[in-house]
Amino acid sequence: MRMKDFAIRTLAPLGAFLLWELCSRSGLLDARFFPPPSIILYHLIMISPGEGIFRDIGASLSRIVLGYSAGCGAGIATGMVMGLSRRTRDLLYPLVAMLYPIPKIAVLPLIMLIFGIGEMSKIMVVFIGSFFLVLINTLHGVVGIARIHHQVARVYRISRRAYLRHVVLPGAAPAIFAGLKLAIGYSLVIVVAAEFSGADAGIGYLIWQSWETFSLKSMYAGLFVIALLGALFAYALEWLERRLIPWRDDRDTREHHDA
Amino acid sequence: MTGHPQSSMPGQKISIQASQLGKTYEHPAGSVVALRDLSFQVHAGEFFCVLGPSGCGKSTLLHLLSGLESPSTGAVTIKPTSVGMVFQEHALFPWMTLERNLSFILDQQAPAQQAANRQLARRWLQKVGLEKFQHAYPHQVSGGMRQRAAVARSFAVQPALLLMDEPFVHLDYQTRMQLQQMLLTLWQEVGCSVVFVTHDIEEAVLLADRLMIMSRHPGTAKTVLQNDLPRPRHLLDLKTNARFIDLVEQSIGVIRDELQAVD
Ligand SMILES: Nc1ncnc2c1ncn2[C@@H]1O[C@H](COP(=O)(O)OP(=O)(O)OP(=O)(O)O)[C@@H](O)[C@H]1O
Ligand SMILES: [Mg+2]
Repeated sequence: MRMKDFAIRTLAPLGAFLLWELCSRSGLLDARFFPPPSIILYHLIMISPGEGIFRDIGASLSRIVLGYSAGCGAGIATGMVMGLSRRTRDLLYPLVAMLYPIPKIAVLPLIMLIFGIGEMSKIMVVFIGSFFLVLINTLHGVVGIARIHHQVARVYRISRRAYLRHVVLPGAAPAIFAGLKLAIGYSLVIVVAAEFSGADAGIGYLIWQSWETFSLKSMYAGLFVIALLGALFAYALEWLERRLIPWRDDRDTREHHDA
Repeated sequence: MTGHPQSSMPGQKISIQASQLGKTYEHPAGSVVALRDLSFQVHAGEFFCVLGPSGCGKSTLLHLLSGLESPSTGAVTIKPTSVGMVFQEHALFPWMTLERNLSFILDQQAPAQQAANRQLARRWLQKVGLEKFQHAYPHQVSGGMRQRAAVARSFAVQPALLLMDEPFVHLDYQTRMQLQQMLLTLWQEVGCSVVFVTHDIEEAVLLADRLMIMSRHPGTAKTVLQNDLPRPRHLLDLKTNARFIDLVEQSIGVIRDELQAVD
């Protein structure tokens, strides 16, 4: 069963690669602009390390890890406080609702003005992007906890601390995870865009540089790395979610949809 | 207008004393009188059923008794400090196993003895026939099992007063009978006071020592009937018992005018 699941999951990416390979090799696609993926893969493995791709991956990863983890931490904490306290929610929600939809790339110049063009500004955009996504999902998770759980806690005189730890946190956990998953993908998007300008390392930098020097294979190598990282993050978080939220009743619905 | 409780027998301890309870909810569209001028008492160790149609304020009454809400008028005095409650909806924590649903509450009340609490939780799950499912999550067991676990949880806290809000309303006839019998057995073992809310006349007569029949609009007591059916009761035999049928008919008699008003 697990083998079959794995096979099904790899089918679509493999199919896409195969199609691309065929089109590129047969001349249907111009191989100068769309080199076959096998050649890009070869380039990525044999040439890119010599061109310093690991330095670029490391630079992007450290920005993501720092900005994302700080953003998620702050987002969960703020979302919890806003979800639990009506007052705080009334106070802050209008601000959140206004700031949330602003594309974070659009504030990059402003952030560079404040934090300079160094590391800090790139970490900050990732931070801000993750923060709002996780905040809003956490908030909805906490507010959405059924009233009955609150009543049970009151009837049985659950302490405030235990209520937060054992009722609110697990009750909001599925929504928090939805936020974490959205935010990690978004962090990749943001960091790459932020590295297009004013960076001297990073996957975004690599892509931009390769484009300017017309080293298309290196550019594609950068794209491949992003795709791989994105998939890796998504699956890692899903694995973590399954470990941390074992009570989730998702199998039934999935089978229901299949039927 | 107010139904007066049967005079309490001398020497009997009072568990709940409610006088002229009223509850009004404020809606944007106007206020709703959920309860009005409701007076009754529940004796220690008594099985007290509250019978009334949907919307007459039964859940509201239990919320007042449990302290989840406070009355708009009148007062209620509750003697016991330890209260267990079974809710109308699924009230188990979905993120805890059945055993953890019980032991978590016990840990709150006796944090120093977590191992003993786990033992106690298991023992109560066993009493309701769920020993094989102690490690299952609520969504992995049937609705009847979930309600059994909720009953076990309410007993596990060693309550002196048990509040039950139509706990078996969503169950099929067979499962409901089973759980009613189980509840009676557990109650006789523990000897706590019970306030059991239902809209099912037969259920009220099967279980109660006394039953308070409520009317809708406004939600208030019409009368309190004494139920002298002997205990222990075997519910299956009871249904053909002449006295049982008589009590059911008496209860229907009390609400006859309302039944006719609906037509
Ligand atoms: N939190 C609330 N806010 C406003 N109105 C409420 C609230 N809770 C109950 N009511 C109103 O009070 C009345 C009584 O409701 P309640 O839930 O106590 O009835 P019930 O007898 O338990 O009904 P059912 O048998 O359907 O559970 C209803 O008219 C309901 O709309
Ligand atoms: Mg109700």
